[in-house]
Amino acid sequence: MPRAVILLGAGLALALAALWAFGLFDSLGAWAAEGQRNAQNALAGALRRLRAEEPGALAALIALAFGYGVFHAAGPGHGKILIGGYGLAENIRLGPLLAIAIGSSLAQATTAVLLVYSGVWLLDLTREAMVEVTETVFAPASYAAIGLIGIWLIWRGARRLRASQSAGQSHKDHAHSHDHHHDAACGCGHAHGPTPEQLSRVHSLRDALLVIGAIAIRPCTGALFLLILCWRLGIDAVGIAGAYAMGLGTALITVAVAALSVWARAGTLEALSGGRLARAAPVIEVFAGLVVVLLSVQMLRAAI
Amino acid sequence: MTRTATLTALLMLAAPPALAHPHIFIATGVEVLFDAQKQATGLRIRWDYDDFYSMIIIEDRQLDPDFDGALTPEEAALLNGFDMRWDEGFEGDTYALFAGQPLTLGPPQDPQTAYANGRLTTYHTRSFAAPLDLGQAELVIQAYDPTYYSAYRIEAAPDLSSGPNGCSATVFEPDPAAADAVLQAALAELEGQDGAEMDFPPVGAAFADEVRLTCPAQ
Repeated sequence: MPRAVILLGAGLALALAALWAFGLFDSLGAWAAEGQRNAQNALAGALRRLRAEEPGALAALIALAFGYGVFHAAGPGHGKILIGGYGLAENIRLGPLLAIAIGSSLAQATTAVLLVYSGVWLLDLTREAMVEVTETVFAPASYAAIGLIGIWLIWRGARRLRASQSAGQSHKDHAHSHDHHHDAACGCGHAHGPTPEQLSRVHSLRDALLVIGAIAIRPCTGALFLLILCWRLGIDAVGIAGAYAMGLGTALITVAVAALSVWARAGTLEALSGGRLARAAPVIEVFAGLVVVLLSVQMLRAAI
Repeated sequence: MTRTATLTALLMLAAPPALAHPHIFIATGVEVLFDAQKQATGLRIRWDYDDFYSMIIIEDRQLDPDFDGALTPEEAALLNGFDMRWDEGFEGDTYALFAGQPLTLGPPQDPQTAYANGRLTTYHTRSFAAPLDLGQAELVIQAYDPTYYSAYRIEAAPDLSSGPNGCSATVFEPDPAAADAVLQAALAELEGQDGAEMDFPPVGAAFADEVRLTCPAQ
């Protein structure tokens, strides 16, 4: 990417932060809610047409469920906060972060399917009970998990910050210590231990699963509604397909957030490049972790 | 710097409804009830549920098996009051202010339920503690769910037909910019207080649809 384009990412990050600070996302939220209202009403119509066996009703329903997911996700939400925060904090490439974004949306749909079918088959729960358990148990659990990941980002950032500071000092004092460390690290040969690259792959896989898990704990209430309704109407497969369509609709927005966060990180690092680069990355990590923690605390407070 | 950080934290912790999504959409209407002396005694609230949530409520109870979007009177009677079993602490999502002071509204009464074209409509009455002379001050009625699980919209000017002549009502939609100004002003005031109590100002209502009502003095 040309440097100017990368630098735009920093401006983008600032612009989004300003928008958020001045409450302009409230208008976005209102617009998204209006879209969701329309999609929700249209979903009921599509279910009616499906029951009446009108042609094209199934395709319409899936398309509406997808649209519902898009509008639903366009408002603020826990998934975007974590994906965006993680993308800002970590040196992760776009591809894997997109996979995490899509994976978390699909995992969330899976949680909804599992909850509804264990609810109706095993536990004999009413719809109210399922929504209740979602709102009072799964939602706070998810926000708490997101907050913990935020704390973990802060901790990692702080540790790297300290490491980079002490590395800077020791570099001045003992010019050759670097070589020594290098030897030690390469001492464990190729056969009987994971390479640093493999280790970092394992770490990022673990990270990815944690992020996906934290988001997926809380199923989308809209998906619960659709699944229960379709179960009542005896069209279970339609409900499950609809829940995943909602998940993919949500993914469309989280994917955009993922891309923006990677771009904003690259731009910010580029803008601060030079002597300060080594310090900037962990500072961004701490800052992103802080925002994730604050927002998750806010969601937690609202949820309990 | 510390103060800025505190304010930022407050702003984040203050939870205007921005961090939630609504799942139930309710178009609400209000009729102001008057007594023989033309004093306002309470509110008759109408809630029109969205098609999807209406369908969920109906299917939960396995009503309307032929799926024609209509109920028999017996079925409608079974549904009556389904949304009137309020949990403790639930204030009913209707808020009223008279001369700027919040009014205490009585428990919901006379529930009524109708179902037509696949859409559920319910009615209930909330009484004021004492009759109000609307010629004296402005009555403001707001419809909002503090948790934003339900999104309310006041769709039409209230029915004032039983009131005194010359009353007028205006529906205000929430203005995010204005609501944000309220929030900012409240924060600025907090900043000025410098260490005074840091209770967060009640700004949630600034994000709600509201009706403002005035009548000529009698």
